[in-house]
Parts: sequence; C-alpha cells; structure tokens
Amino acid sequence: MDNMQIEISNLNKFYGKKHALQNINLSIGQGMFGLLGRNGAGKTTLMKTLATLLNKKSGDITVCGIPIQNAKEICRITGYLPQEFSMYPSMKVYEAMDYLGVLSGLDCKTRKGRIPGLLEKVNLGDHHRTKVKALSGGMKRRLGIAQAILHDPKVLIVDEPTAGLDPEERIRFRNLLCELAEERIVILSTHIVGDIEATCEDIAIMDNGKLLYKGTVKELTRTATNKVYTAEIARIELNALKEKYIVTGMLTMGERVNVRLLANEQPTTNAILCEPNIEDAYMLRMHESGVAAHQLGGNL
Amino acid sequence: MMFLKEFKKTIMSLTYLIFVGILLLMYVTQYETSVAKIEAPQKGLQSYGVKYEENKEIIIPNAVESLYGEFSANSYIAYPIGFYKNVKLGDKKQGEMVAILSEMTGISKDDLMADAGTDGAGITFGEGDMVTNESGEITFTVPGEGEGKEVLPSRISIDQKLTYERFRELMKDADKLIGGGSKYSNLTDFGSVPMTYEDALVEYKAIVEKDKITGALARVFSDYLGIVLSIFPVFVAVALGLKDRRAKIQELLYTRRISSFRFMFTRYFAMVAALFLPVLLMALYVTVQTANQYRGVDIDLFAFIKYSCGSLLPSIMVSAAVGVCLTVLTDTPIAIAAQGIWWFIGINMGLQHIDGGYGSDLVIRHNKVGNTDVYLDNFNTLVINRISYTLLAIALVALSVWIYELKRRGKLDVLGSIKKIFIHRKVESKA
Repeated sequence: MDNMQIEISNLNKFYGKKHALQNINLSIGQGMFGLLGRNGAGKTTLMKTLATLLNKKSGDITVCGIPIQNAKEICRITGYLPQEFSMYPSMKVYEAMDYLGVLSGLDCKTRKGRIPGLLEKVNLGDHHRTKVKALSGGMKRRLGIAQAILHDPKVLIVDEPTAGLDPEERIRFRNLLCELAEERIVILSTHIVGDIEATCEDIAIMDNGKLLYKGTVKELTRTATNKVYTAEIARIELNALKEKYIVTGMLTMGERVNVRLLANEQPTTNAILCEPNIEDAYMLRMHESGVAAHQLGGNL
Repeated sequence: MMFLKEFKKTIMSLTYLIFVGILLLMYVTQYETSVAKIEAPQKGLQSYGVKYEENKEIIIPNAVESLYGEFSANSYIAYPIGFYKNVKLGDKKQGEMVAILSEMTGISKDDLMADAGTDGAGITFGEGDMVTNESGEITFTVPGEGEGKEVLPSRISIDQKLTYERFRELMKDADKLIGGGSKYSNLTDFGSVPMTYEDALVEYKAIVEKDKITGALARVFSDYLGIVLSIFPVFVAVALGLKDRRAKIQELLYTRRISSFRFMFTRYFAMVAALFLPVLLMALYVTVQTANQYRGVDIDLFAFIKYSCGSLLPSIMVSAAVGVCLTVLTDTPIAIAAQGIWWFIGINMGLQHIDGGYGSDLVIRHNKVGNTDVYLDNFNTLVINRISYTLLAIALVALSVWIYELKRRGKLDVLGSIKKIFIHRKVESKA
C-alpha cells in the first residue's frame, strides 16, 4: 500500500517580519481534509507551501513519503487548483487541458485517452471547443479541477474553490471533490464553514498563522455541547444581546427575533439549549483562542 | 510537442503579426528599392564611386589637416557611444594636442598656437562688411581675393621623419584626448580615393566570382533586416512573457512537472523558430526572384539562407533572449527599454562600419552591394561577433532558467519587492 499521508512538523514561514506560519504540526491522511480559517489566517500560505510554490523557513514536510525539497517529485504527485484559477483566455477548453498535460509530462496517447473522460466528469464534455474566456465562473472552476487531476495525482490541493459560486454550482463542486477524495488526499481550504461541514471529516482551523484546532468535525462540534442556546427575544433587545454573546444565527419574525447564540450559562430565562453545529463550534474555538470579541460579535 | 504548442502560441499573437508586418515593410521599402541589377561597369563614366585605401600618403595629410582644423577651432566631433558630441578641450588637453600636432608637422608648438588664434580658428575677412536692409535681411560683403586674412594654413606640412606607425600612435593618443569615438579612431576613412574603371571592374569581378552575385545581395538583405531583427524580437518575447502574468496562470505553470530548464529553453527556441520563419521565407522568395533576374548566371542559390542563418539568426536570438531574461526577472516590459537603448547605441556605432567592418556591433551593417574584399578581410571578426552573440543569448536564457526556478519555488519576487518599495514610499510620504 502506498504511503498516503502528508506530515508537517514545526513548519515556520515568514513574509519579511510577519510570521505567516507558526510551528505548524499536522498529519493529513487519505480523504477530504478541510482547512478552515478567516481570510488572512495563513491557509493559502500553507497550501502554497505544500504545492512547492513557497519556500519554508524551517520545519519538515513530507508528501506521501517525499520530502518537500524534492519539488519535481512533489509536482508529479500533486494537483493544485489555485484560489484564482485562470487560463489563457483565447485557448479552447480541450486545448488548455492538452497544453497543461504536456507540461505535466503526459504523452500524446495518455492525454487523448484521459482528457475527454475528465471533461465529462466535470460536466464540460459539451464545451471542449469553447474558449476559456466564454466559460462561466463555475465552469472555469470545474475546468480547474479537471486540470488538477489530469496527471492523476495522489494529492489534490484546492484553495477556496467555492468562493463566488452560486448554490447549485457549489453543491456540485463539493460532490465532485468528495468523489475525487475516494482515492486521494484532498485538501480543501475555505473560510466557508458550510463547505467543510458538507464534505470533510478531518479538519484544521487556522488563525493568524497558528493552528487552533486539528481533529474531526464531530470532536470539534462536541466542544460546543451545552454552550449553544436558542431564544426568542424582542427586537429591541437584540443589540444588547449581541454585545454580550456571540450570536451565530438569527431569524427575524416581525418584532420578535429568534436568535442562536453561544453562552456558558443560560443567557435569558426563555433560552433553550440546543445541538451545536460546526459553525457554533468554530466560533467558540475562535473565541477561546483569543480572537477579539468585536471580531466575533460578542463574548460568551 | 511542447515546442509546437509554444510555436503556435507565438505565431498566433498580435505582437508577432506586427513584427512580421514591420519585417515585410523593411524588405519592400528598403531592400527592394535600393538594390539594382548588378552589371559590369561601362568605360568612360564620370564617376565610379569612391574606395578606401590604407595608403599612408593619402591618410597622413588628410588626417593631420583634419585634426589641425578641429584643434584650431577647439571643436572636435566625436561619437563616443554612437551619439554625436562636439568636444571642447581644456587648456591642458589642448596643450597635449598641440604637442601631438607639433610632432606630426614639425611646426613649433608656439607657431601652431599662434596660428590657431585666441578666439579659435577659421577664416576671417578683414575688410568685409555687414549691412542690414529695411526688411531686416542681413547681407555680408566679402572682400576680393587677397583682401582677407586666412588664419588656417591652406595645407599643413608633414614632418618627413614621421613614420606611419608613429602617426598611428599619435592619432590614437589624439582620439584618447578627445574621449574616444573621434574621426581618428578609424584612420581608413581618411584614405578615400575615387574609383577608376579598373577598380570598378575588379569589384564587379569579385561580386560575380567570389560572391556569385547573391552573396553581395544577401549582405544588403541582412543589413536591412538586421536593423529590425535586433530590436523587434524583444517585443514578441516580452508580450509572450507577460501573457502568463496577464492570464494569471503563473502559479498553475509553476506546479507542473516539467523542469524549468526544459520549459524555458523549449519556449525560447519555439519563439526563435517562429521569429526566424518569416526571414527564411523572405530569403527563399528573394532567392527565387534573384535566380529569375540572373538567368544563365552562376549564382549561389543558398547565399540568402546562409546569411540569414549566420548573420540574422544571432541577432534574433540575442534580442529575444534579452526579452525573455528581463521579463522573467521583473515581470515588467523593461526589456524593451533595455534592448531599445542597446539597439540605438548599436545602430549609431554601426554607422562607422556601414560599408562593412563589423567589430563587436550588435547590428551588422553592410549597406553596400559589393565591398567583397572588406567582407572577406573581416570575415573572422564577423564569425567571432556572431558566435559571441549566440553564446550570449544562450547564457541569458540559462540565467532565465535559474531565475524561473527561484520564482517557481517562492525564493524570488522582484516585482513584489518593487511594489513593496513603492507602497512603503507612498505610506511614508502620506505620513
């Protein structure tokens, strides 16, 4: 059995004086792995470092047993979909795939055999003669996935793939990633909690270059048990409540508001404890890690 | 396979089409209009042109007289880096110049200085007059013969003991005093003499026998196209280099398996092949055209191809390599400015060798049908020149490979650093 594991130990990365990655230790196995964090948390830096696009300051990384220093081998086993996937606008879809296939060292026969199937898989089979500039955002992103798995990599690194996609396209994209994760390591970086909840079992949370959490979604959710309440309050009470607690959801119904919030104790007399979800747990983790109250919208 | 894809990418770009258009324009407007059918000279013509001889009897007096004239006016014409410059020497250097002139002429320094006059030299008209009429026009009245006073001696005498070797040394010193690039840096230009019918016949025979007609024509073909090919490939290289950044696919390319060496060199050679293609097609066209024009004459059918490969290809290679290297390094079009300056200086310096001579010129000039012996005499220089530029081009691409690899691994970001400096300055100035 192949070594299907990414090992990161004591990873540090600086941008000038900014400590962009601080002593990251992480182990990623086969399947979907979610990397969650706010914008600027260091997710893209970590993804780029894994894709050999950035140079680390210190620490060790091995991808399927190959040290990250062996960039050529890493490129052979890794597929990468950057945050802003783009291609030469005047190239046709098939042409773009063929060009990138050549750069990945695939021979003509392999490319001819693989590209049509991949385009079908990402629902671009009918668009193989369409120019890249004529594709919609979602189609472009699907082309991005197709090119990333063109050389059949063991590892797929996908950076913020669903940003800007409509709900239908987002669901389709998430399902596609799950399919691909059946036989690969797929690392999905996002700041959208819903994407992680729908696709990943193992996750890590990053903030300010640090790893705040690593484990399963279930374990993370469990940490918020007995801390999530729902309550129906008057609309005029909402601001006071928001200043005091972290509100993770609200539904306005005329003059009344149904709020979902995080609290150590029952916040109002009519508040009811409820089952936490990953979003609640994520907000709780961020709060516990010292993220400023005003950035989260309140305290506990 | 990658070569073909990159080749296609190059020829489908707008910049490339503009390049081909300019090349064609140069061919049609310059080469086709300046080359007439080569025919044997006819006896009894008034002029057969001029030729340059390394004849000390002609060169020494012409050069000394020229130097004396410039010394007297303290106004020396020079092209130090190909640009016109009027040099005025200080007292000390003029003192050294008068010593050189004194040694060459045998005239004492004092006499030379006195002849030069205090306000510079020239011809002064003692009894002349200047009248301004009502409409503001100025009329000079020049006195009759013998009435004026001519400061400049009509002909400077040459010291009989002056050897040609010493003369050359002294002229080299004079050129140094002027700052280089003066008329005295290339003394052959002072050896201009009118060509006779016999000379013209010898030249014609050289064109027919040594050049097989097409060789002489191919040099002029290369001369004109060389002007375009020493600069315009940089535009194509820059446009293609920046295409990756504009399309935002640099990261995507960086993560592919292909090595930086193979990637850069394949791209480069595909681009050079695309740039050379129209030159080759034009060479083939002009070969067919010339073969038709000289039916029955023994011509070299491969001359245009040989000159295109030997003389023009290195120019394309180096210009494209500058474009590749500086674009990979900076992600900006700065290569166009760099190559533009180099080309401009090269063109001006090449004017010194416009009829052949070559030296270390970037742009190989040979703007004369014929001059076969000058070409043959300088053939080794030409070969060294072209090989050197080819090697320089390869070295620049090798440097690009190294830069690309550093960028690919996130170890170099020149554009990012430049941006940071500007942002930092903006913040500071706002503060």
